[in-house]
Amino acid sequence: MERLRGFRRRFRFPWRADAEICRDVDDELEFHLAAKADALQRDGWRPEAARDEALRQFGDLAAARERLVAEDRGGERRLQRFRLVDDLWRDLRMAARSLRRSPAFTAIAVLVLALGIGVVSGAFHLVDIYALKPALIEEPDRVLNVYSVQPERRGRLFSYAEYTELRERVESFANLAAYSVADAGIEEGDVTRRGQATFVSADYFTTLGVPPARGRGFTLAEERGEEAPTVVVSHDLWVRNGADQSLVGSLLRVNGEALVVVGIAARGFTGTMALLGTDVWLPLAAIERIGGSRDTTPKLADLQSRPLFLFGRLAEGVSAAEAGAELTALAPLIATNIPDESGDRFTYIAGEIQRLARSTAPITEVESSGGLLLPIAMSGVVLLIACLNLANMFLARGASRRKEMAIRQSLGSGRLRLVRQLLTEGLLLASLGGAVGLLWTYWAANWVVASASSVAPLGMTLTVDTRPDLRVLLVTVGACVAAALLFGLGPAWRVTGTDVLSGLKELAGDVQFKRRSARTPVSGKGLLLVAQIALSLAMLTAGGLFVRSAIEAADATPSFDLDATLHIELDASLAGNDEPRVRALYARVMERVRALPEVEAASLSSLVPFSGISQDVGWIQPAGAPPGENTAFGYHTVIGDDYFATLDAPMLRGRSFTVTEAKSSTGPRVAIVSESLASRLFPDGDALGRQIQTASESDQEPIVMEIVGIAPGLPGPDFDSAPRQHLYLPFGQAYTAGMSLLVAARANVADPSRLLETIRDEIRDIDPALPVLSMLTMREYRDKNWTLWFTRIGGQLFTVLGLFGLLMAMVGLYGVTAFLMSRRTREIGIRMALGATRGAVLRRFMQESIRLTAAGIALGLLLALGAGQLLSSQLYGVSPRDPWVLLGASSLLLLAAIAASWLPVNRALRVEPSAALRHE
Amino acid sequence: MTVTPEGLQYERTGGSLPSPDQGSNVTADRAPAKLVQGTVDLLILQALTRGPEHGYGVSVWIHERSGGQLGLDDAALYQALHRLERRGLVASDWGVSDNNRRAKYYEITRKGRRHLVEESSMWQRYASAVSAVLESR
Repeated sequence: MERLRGFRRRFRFPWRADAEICRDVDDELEFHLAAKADALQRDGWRPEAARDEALRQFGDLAAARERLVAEDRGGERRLQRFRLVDDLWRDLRMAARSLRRSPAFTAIAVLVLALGIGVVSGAFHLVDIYALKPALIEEPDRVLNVYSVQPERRGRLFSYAEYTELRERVESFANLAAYSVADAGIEEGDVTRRGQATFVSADYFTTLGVPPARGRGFTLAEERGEEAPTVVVSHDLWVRNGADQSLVGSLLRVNGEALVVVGIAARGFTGTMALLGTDVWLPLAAIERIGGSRDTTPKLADLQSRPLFLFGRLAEGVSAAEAGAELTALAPLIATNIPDESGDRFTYIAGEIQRLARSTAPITEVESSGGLLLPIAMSGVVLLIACLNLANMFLARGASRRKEMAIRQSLGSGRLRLVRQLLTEGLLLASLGGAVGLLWTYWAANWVVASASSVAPLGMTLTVDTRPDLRVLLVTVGACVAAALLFGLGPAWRVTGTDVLSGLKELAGDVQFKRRSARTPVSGKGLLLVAQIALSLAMLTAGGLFVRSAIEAADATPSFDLDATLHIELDASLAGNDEPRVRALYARVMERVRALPEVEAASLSSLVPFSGISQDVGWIQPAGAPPGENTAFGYHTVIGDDYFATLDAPMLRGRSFTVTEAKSSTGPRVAIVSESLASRLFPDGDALGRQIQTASESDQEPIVMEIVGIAPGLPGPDFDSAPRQHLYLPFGQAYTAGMSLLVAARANVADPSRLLETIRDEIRDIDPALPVLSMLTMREYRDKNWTLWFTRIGGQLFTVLGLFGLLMAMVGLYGVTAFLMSRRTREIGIRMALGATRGAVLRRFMQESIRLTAAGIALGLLLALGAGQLLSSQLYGVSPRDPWVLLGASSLLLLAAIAASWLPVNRALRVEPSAALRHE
Repeated sequence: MTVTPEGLQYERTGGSLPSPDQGSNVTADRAPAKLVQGTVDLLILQALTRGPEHGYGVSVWIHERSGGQLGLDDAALYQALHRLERRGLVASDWGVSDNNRRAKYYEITRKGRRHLVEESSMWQRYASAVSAVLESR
């Protein structure tokens, strides 16, 4: 008996039909009987008798046959069930083998995919951190914000009296909580750090459903101020201070006051906001003692003082609509009980809680998180480019396997099976790429967050949890599958065409002279290439726009010398000083600083250009004007004397504030307005000397001031070049505890930044406990601006991704051209043998690629214009249709394409004509 | 075979059992023993360790190896073969025999070898244990 090779192990394909099973059994038994009969015949039996004897010896043939058939049927069913798993496993092994055979292809494909998938999961990870991960709130859809708005949608906050009235009367909310936010100086060790404090009502933690992990929240007595205030610290602060259990019960100094720590918040708890983290929670009453750096310290008993945000948890079974209706009904009731001096009618409405913003009127999450869609969209584009490129590569590779596929199909492999196997290859590649991509996703995400944190304005703690997340993993897996399908399905389908015969024949001398048929294999790939090129161009353009924007912003030279002007941020109130003491301290600081020989001029200011922090806005109108008429809003800044001199921006008309005005509140009330505000208020004449009035936030008697100076436009907190309407008030007549000290160094000072240390020493000499929050040159300060950072990052990101897209497109172009050249070697040989010059042949074959590139660039320009339009709000000083950027990107692409298509054509031309003719 | 494992039954069958080797009618001096299923599997597996074989060849080999003492019921043999295949202990394929007939060949699998090794060593231990008891006084 011969040894057989290639036994089919266990599993057969295709599986046997019933008839086949019966036939097999019959044949097997028949063989047995024949063999037995032969043996009997050798022993001397006659053929027929031998056959009968064999049958007799066997026994009940029919019964045996039945049993065997039954056995096999069952077995066959079992085989089918395992077949799929086994087939997939085999597909996987075959895929691995085939990928191993072409290591270069595999390496490139994995890298490309790693980038594409990594970018997608990275973007999702970032967005997830900031937007999608819910704030730690129990049943967040039952919690609503409560707003106090006017018919024209201008909203305002609540007073304590309003809050308590509402809390008592409202029935559709099971709990109603209030809070306010302020900066506070928190003592950690022997350093006072500026952090964020949230003042909350007694039921704050219970309303959100997340009680402190240790200790307790606040009592009603503490809320009202009947008992001494206590403090609940955040988890992060507790960890920063050593994660000591004994923190509860110990004392913590907040703004100079020693408070008893009664609780530690749960990990990840940030109140209603997901982004900005609070360091400490204090009861509402503490707002009067500690709510330090605002110029109007809220007083709970003051009916017109409105510092509170409100939110509540819906009662059982109550809908948001019902709650809203009740609120609207209660508003007039409460208004009669609590007189409103502004005379405006406000009504109450409810809205969903905002995770990313705090506002006095409801804005949808979509609006506030619109900017976050950008990275996801961007990354999706990158992945798309990657997949397109890979599809091309697969097509090219697949074309070389047509013969293999054809043979397998002729041997009985179903088309579906081959497609499945090719898809498995794709999936394997995608998984490898995804695994690599995931690795550097977290690294990249951490990098971005770290970069962002370094730029975040002081006092805002970005809460970020960069731990790996299941959802990011799922997104990555999804991206892998999508990618595999995207770049695998098309080529797999094409390669396993039903035209088996032509596939088998496709080998030697497949020269197509007819242009049409030569074009056909390109059209599918050509389309992909065009798409890739277009997308790359769009990304490069976006990157270029951002980069230019960043450069413009960086070049935005204000009136003052960025390097010679210093910025020192102070906040004396954080050490527990009250207003008189703060003023005294600042006065002494100004004295000493101005006495320094290197200092040309110095001034205090509540806000500084490029700060990135939005300023207080107030409504101003000419004095005596009836309410609502001719109002303009102006950005408040409290300044000392010499402000404009320090910033080298001389007054246009009038004068700056005097020393007296900067120090004390005696004397008539004065103000300085910027040019634009002046012409807005008094379009028909000179504003100088005129009177204006402001409606201050607490709706008291409007303050009337005389305009003593018209100031030039100065850069605002951000980079937009629109002239701002500023209202400047003297430090003596308005108060903010957190002031910036602006110092202009003399022109002959070699290194102004060294001056910072000198100033620091002076301050320390005056009062060692005076918190100095930052010391920077104005250039450094400007570079920390949030918007600038965003533009810079955006530029870097887009450019890098765009370049990568370009690289991939060029690789694709190269590959396609090389493939085409390999198929037309004979044609090249013939042409050259017939006397065509090298240059002519070169040009002729490059035409194809250039045509594709041109199409890609055209499409890309359209996309780029569209993208520019979308991004126009983020750009500074650059038109979204900037011709230089468009030209630059297109040229870059064209050059790259020429290079990418020249190389393979050139290589093909180096072949000897005779060799080319013989080529098969 | 001198040992009688559980379940063995002695049965008289009429007629003679031809043996291809001997080429003559030989009457066995003892009626062939009918075997229990588990043991049949072992024998078949052992037979196949020599190489792929069809069902008839297996039955002949077993009979000859056992000195004619073991007569396998053919139906049972094929039942066992198919069951072994179902369990994955053997694999089958169609081939051509010596005399150019289409025959179904069986081959032992890796799993089958493992099973054979385990089960036959257990069998040996069992056999010697029983043997020891029976021979002691």
